[in-house]
Amino acid sequence: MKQGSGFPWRLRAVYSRDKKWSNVVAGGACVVLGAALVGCGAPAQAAAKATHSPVTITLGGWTSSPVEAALMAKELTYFEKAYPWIHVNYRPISGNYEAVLKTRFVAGDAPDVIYVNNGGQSSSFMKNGDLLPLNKYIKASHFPLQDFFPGALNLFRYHGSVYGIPKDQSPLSLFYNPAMFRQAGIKSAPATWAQFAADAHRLTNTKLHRYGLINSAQEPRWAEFLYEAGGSVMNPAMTQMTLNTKAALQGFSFFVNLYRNGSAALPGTVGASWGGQAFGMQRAGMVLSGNWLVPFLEQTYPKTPFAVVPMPKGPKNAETLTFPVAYGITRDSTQPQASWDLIRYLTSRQGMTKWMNLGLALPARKSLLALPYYKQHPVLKGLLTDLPRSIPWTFPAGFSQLSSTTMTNETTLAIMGRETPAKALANMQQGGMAILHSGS
Amino acid sequence: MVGARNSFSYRLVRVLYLLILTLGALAMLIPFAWSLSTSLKPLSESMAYPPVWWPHPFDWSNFVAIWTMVPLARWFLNSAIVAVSVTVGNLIIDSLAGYALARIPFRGRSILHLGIVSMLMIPFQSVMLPVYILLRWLGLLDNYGGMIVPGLVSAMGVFLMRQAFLTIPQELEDAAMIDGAGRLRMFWQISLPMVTPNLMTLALMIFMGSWNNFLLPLLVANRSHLWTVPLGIVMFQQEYFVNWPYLMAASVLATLPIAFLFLVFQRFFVRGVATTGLK
Amino acid sequence: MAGIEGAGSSSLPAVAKSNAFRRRARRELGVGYMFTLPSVLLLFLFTLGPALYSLYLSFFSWSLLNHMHFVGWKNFEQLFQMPLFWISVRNSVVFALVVVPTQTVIALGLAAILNQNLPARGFFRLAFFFPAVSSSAVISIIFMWIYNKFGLLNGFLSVFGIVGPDWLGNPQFALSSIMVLNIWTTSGYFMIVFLAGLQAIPAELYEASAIDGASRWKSFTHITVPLLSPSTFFIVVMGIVGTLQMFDQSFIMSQGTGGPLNSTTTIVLLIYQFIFSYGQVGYGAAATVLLFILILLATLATNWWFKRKLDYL
Repeated sequence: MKQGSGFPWRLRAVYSRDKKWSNVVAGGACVVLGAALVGCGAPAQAAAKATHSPVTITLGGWTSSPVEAALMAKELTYFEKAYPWIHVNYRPISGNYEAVLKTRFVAGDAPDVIYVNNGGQSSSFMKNGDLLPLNKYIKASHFPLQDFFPGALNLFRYHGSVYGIPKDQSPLSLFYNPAMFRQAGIKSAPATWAQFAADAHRLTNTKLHRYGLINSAQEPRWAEFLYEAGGSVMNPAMTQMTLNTKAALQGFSFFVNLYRNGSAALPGTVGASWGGQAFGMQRAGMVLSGNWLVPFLEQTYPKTPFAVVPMPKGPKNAETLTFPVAYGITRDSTQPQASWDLIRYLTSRQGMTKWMNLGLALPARKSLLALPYYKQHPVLKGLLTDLPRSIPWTFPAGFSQLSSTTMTNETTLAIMGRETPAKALANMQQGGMAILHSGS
Repeated sequence: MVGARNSFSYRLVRVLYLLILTLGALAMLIPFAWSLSTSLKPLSESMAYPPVWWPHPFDWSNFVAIWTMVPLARWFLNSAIVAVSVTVGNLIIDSLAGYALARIPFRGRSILHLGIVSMLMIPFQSVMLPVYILLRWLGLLDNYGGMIVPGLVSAMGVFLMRQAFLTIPQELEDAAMIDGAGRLRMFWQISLPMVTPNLMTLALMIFMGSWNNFLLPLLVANRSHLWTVPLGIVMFQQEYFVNWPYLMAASVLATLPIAFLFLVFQRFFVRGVATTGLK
Repeated sequence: MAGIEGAGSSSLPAVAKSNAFRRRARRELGVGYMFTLPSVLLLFLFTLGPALYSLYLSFFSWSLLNHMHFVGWKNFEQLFQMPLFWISVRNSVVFALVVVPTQTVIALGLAAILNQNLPARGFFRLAFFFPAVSSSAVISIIFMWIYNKFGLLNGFLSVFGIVGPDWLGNPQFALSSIMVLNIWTTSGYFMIVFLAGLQAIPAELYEASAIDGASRWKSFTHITVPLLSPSTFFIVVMGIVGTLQMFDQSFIMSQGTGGPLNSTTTIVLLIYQFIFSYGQVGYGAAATVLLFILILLATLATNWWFKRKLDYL
């Protein structure tokens, strides 16, 4: 994915700066610790290689583009330099990640290290025992966890064990088209629900096939409104559905009414397959999306101007969603130690910094919020502001049909006016409680 | 056939027929023409509404760019390797089985025949998971083997070859048997050459089916450099969030080989379809 | 067909003849099985065996990530109570009931017209057959573009002042859109089958009926249609099996989701979703069994109906 003409230069500059820095620190650490724990330079390599027999591990995961895959492959060559006895086979999974991964599990062919997704995938993997608990590896390498966002880390915790180390995340923020705003005479991006609704209305121009807001009806696009009204989808322990509260109804109705009164539309209405594409096609004045929209717009719709602000504040707070992803080790891995070394490398401050400098996602580490990369890319400020107050999006195991299909259908019915928002929420509530009670 | 009562109405009916046929043919070809038209436009122009048929100007860059954006050449190679292997395999295996079912009297033949025909009713989608597990056990995942082996025999192919061999006059084989020829020689030297047109048809149908196959490569080929052309295009659509001109360029390129084969060998395609209907 | 070979041994005594016969029969048995072995083996491994395994799996609960455990008939019970299952059955049946007659009639009509002495027959034949030749995946992608809210179809309709909907995103039209796509793809293919059948009808029959004063329509319905029964039967059965098994188009055009409000969720797509998206392999396997029964019943029903018509004839 082309990031713009200056990109390769910038990466090299940042990288070489980092490498020199990390060499100094690592060299010092090596001298002090005398062990190959933190990606040492040359002196310890020979010793390390002598004490380790060569192993091969497989890294799976998805990739958004061939460029991302190429960059990850490059990362891995640096890892292999630091850990010369470990060879990593990079096998990204294309298509339906979860489906393909599951069939690999069945066939006993799962990669050693995988991406663990949010939205219920982590719950399902952890519950089924498909991931190795990492506590003992964390302890043995003295790997500090405080720097990670607690919310992101908790997504990959189950019964006291840690099953995944977060690699990156992105919050859901508000993208808007400054040119369209100027044209409509709106001075600044909305900061409250009232302004948001008003701006959406003003930006809508059906003759131009343009709507103030375009988003799909999926739950991870409206759940934040429930939080902002003081409600939630489930309770923190995920043992109850909480869609039957007044706050939930308030948040959900706010979202649905935007569509009902014509200021918002589903992507298909303007011939797009998702909100980000509609925004790129300049058929949306605003879209709720995350960091992944930035490289997409830069590559596919470079002429569309955009800016990002935090999610408009609701009646109670300004909480939004975030979508963390972690690295985990699969339970049948024959090389858990080497797998752990890879994870540790990729999620260390240096490793994660390199990944962040690709601009594909935002950090899972608090300390990286102040990276120079973000000073060079002020457009990401809105996303970064939202990050600390965002709630990771997840569901318990067994919810995939409800969270993907049923909730979308109920929301669509509410948007189409065939159901009241209250009824839609009641159906979702009922469906969720049924799953919880069946204990699946 | 029609009485020349009223030559005007006769001509009117003919014009009407031609009109219907022309409209029908247009309906069949327009989607392909449209995909070609879109592939020749830059992204911005393709979004114009109402749609513009004639690209201004003809932008061939999509066809050039697509080869570097995705490993399209590799996908073509994969499709070719798989389709050719599957075709050759089918030609051998299906004709052997079809011959046996048609001409070799052996006990249990009719049961086998019934069994093979009933396989036609089992959709691949229903058996994909067990097939996947089996392929893993055989070590055929994520390589060409997994895309080739399950397709090496086709129940329809066996059925077609049986039909074909049934039409060969029995006397020729009787004569050969008198001469003391074994079944294999009979098959290879006498019967098989006589059904060459049917073999051509079978080859074309199998090749086409394999080239166009989507689901099996979807399951087997996880790494993008193993994808076949249809799979690659769909994956491309899902990953690149529908950049239509690129997609259409890829679609045009994907259709060209089959279109070419079809134009050159249309006689056999038509024959094949026609004979399957005449039980 | 299964001739008893005695042609070359007429001069041998009877015992030797029957011995020769037995030996030949044994050899034939061996050769017969050898010839059919590869196909039987492969078909068993990749079609029958997996089907039986699916049957076996339908009695278990398995998410692909945990251990299987036996649940007996529970999967079937749950399926029958599941609204989504019945929606998929309804979609599949409606799809078959609309597509099969329509494509049959269109194919027949086109074949009848093409059978007349008209110019450019070869070109028309090519044009009609072409859609059947390309990949269903590629065609689905092309039609996704055509069915787009701002795609070719709506552009065409806008000439008449009609504002077309988002065909694939609107629950009312999504399934119909795929139906049209399917009919478009296969009508030409079946037209060729009918054409061959038509050309096999002797011209004398028509001449005789013309002499008797029968109108064109009457000779069509009383001669052409009945004599085309074998072709029609074939096309209807292939149509039923094909439409009930339709997967590629609904998967690709809904991007695996089953369409707006599940309007394009067919049984096969639901099976795929059960296994690969929702992690409920038992349901998927049970639905597979039920689908197979449905196809079998539909085929038998068609068989019975056509036999009845033939007897009547």
